[in-house]
Amino acid sequence: MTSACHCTGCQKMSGSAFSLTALFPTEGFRITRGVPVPGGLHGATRHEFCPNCLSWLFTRPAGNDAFVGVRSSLLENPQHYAPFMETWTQEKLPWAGTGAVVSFEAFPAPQEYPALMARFAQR
Amino acid sequence: MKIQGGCRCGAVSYHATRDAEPAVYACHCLYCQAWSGSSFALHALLPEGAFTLEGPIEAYSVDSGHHRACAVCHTRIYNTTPAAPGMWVLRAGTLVQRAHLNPVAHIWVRHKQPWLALPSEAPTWDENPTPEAFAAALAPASAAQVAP
Repeated sequence: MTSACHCTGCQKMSGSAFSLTALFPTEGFRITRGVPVPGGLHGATRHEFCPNCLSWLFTRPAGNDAFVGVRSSLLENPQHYAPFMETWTQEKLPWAGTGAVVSFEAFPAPQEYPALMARFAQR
Repeated sequence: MKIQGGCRCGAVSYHATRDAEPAVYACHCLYCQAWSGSSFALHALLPEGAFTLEGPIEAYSVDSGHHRACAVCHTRIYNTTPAAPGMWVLRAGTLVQRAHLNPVAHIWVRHKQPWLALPSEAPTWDENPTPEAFAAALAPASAAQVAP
């Protein structure tokens, strides 16, 4: 599932208006070269960066080992990852529109994710 | 006028006193998309030394660009580049004042994400504008914001 997060933390970590994420099942995700370094708040949600250029690569969300949130703008063909969902719109920069189908003022509740993912898969 | 900002974790902060708020522009090139983890970078061009940085800074170089980031959370604060000699390219998403700083120009829109709708009033360039055209695009915002 693809998303954009407008929270102030993502604004700072991206240096931009929002961050972009594509959630992938952890079992299908492999690091094929290099050893990422941790950054962000160094808390239960783990943000991993390139050790050379410090690009923000991916996030392992707290309490959910099943998925990895990859920064979709680093993927090949980033245009294929238009955000389906946007989160933290209460902190959104006023001019920054993503065209996302579903919007949340903060994060959706964990129990809402299965239905959101089903909707994403059917779009 | 005081401008200030900082990184995600709070270890690094910066501040400056300036005549006007900085003009912010968006670069949609593929490098900026990768650097940011977003669909564009938000930048403000400021003269070298324009702000004072405090906290643990990590300095590193990639190709011809020199970068400064927080050593703890790795939020990038600014870079220098031969393309803009004498300037610091600030990551405007780290500015406290960012919520009311609308981008005054969008560059490299030939690589803009197709789902992104841009405000109609800001000028756009397919690639890099000429230095003269870019200076003209960035100047009115600064001038307007100087007015009391």
